[in-house]
Parts: sequence; structure tokens; C-alpha cells
Amino acid sequence: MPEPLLSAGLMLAGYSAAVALSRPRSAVSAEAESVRLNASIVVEQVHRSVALFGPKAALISTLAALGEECREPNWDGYGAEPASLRSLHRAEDLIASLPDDVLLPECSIEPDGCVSLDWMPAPYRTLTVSVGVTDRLPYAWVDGTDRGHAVAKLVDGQLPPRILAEIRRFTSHEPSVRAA
Amino acid sequence: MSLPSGLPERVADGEDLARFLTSSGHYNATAARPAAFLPNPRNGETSVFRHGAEPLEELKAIAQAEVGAERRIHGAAIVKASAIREAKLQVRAKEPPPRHADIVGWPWSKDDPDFGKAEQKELAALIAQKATKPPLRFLV
Repeated sequence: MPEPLLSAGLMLAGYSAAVALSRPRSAVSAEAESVRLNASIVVEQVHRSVALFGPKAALISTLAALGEECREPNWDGYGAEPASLRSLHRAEDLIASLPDDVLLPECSIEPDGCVSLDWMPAPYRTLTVSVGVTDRLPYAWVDGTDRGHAVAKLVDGQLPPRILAEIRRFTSHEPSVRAA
Repeated sequence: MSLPSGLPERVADGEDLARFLTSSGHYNATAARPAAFLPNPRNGETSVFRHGAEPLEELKAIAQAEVGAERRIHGAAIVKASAIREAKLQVRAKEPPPRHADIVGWPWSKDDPDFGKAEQKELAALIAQKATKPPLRFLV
């Protein structure tokens, strides 16, 4: 089981206890009522987290399966490098850390073993980010006649604001406007 | 001048090129993804076959014979040679095997490989957008 899913499982075990504590009781002390209220808050937050993390967990599982599919040299029949474990872990972390308002990407493994995170919200719109073994992220976009490429750097292990802004713009209906 | 396959050495703009899809991550229900067209890091070339979607059985036979011996072929993305040239890349016939060609001329930066990779990704995304949609699906 991929580690994030295991963590989610452990979280849910603690969640069961919180649910029990959060249930209203007829005779309670002030302290017990305080515990119940706190447990209710935890339960509510867990509900929200599970609802939001569900698609991310599914995507991370898909990524893990791709890593398994591409773990041998020449996995594509054209001479590809094996999927890099460091790239896979880094991509997992990036997916998990994506802000809630950002559409999740699709994943693929590139011939050099890096992970590609792709946003393809329309046939003429593609934003593709490579996640490799360093903190530098080669990325490119094609949006109708507007296209380009650049290299960004991870910020504290997360996608930099510049790329997040690009993703939001790409997945919205706004036309992209970029400096040349 | 003809090649052993009988095809002309120069790949015409109107010719269809098939890129066999050998990973489940290289396509979705509607389109091929950019990674499907990125070049082999060892030789900087993207291997394709000069064949369109039809006849499908013939395309499948090529896939099986040339790529599918040890790999699972999920399908193929078909793109015109003109789309490759519009991306400022070249298509070079390279036989054997019959009908084989390479997409060559991918950008590369010795000083900054990441920047070269970013440029490759742009061109791969451009080509993927121009490939026929949805990609052909078959399992060999």
C-alpha cells in the first residue's frame, strides 16, 4: 500500500474514536462536554479532509501503478529509463500538497524516468510539468496559438506560485496572458 | 529513391505516422499525452511507423512484430508528418524495419538540460494536440 494511503488508514482509525467521543450524551460534566465539542470539530475536519483527499489518494494510487508498470529499463520498448523512485515520491508529495482549488493533473512517466503532471482541460490546451530528481521543474504549455516553455523551481517542496497560477488559468475559461 | 518497403525515402507531409502507445499513462480516453512523443533519452529520437489508422489489422501486425514482442501495446497515436515539421522537427525514414522512421531534431541544451527538456515538452505537447483524437486503442 502506498504510504499516503497507509497514513490515511491510520488517520481513519483515530477517527473512529473521535466519532464515539463526539456523540451527545445525556449526563456530562463540563470537561466531558468540552472533550465532546473538540471531538466534533475533529470529526468535521476529518470529514472534510477525506472528502477532499479522496481524489488525490486515487491519483497517487494511479501514479504508484504507473511507477510499477515502468520500473524496468526499456519499459516502453523504445529504450526508456526506469521510472525514478525519487521522482515518483516527489510527484506524490506535490499532488498531496496541491491547493484545494487546483484541478488535479493526469500523470504519465516520461522516457527519461521523470513523472509528467499534465493538465489537458481542452483539446487545444495543455500544461505539462516534469517532476524529476532535482528541485527544478521543466514545464511547457500550448494554448491555441500561444505556447512556450520554462523551468521553475520547487518552493519548500511545493509547486511555486508561478506554476500554480498557470494551472489555475489553464483550467479556468480565462485566456492565458503571459510575458514573452 | 525507394526504400526496401517500397516507400519513398522522403516522408511526405501528408503521410500518417503511427506512434505506438506502450504505457497506460501515455493516453486517456480522448487524447495522447505529451510524454507519448518525447524522444528516447539515449538517442534523442522518437520512433514512429509510416502507417495510418487503416488497415487496422496491418497496423496491429506492425506493432506486434516491431514493438510488441515484449511490450504490451495499448494502441497508437496517429499524426501527420506535416505536424512534426510545423513543430520545427524532422521526420527521417530509417529502415529496417519496414516503414520505420524517426522524429529527429529535438532541442537539447548541454548547459541546461532542464531547459532543453522544457522545450522538448512544448513540442511534444504540440504534436500530441495534433494527433488524431481519440487515440487508436488495441491490445496486442
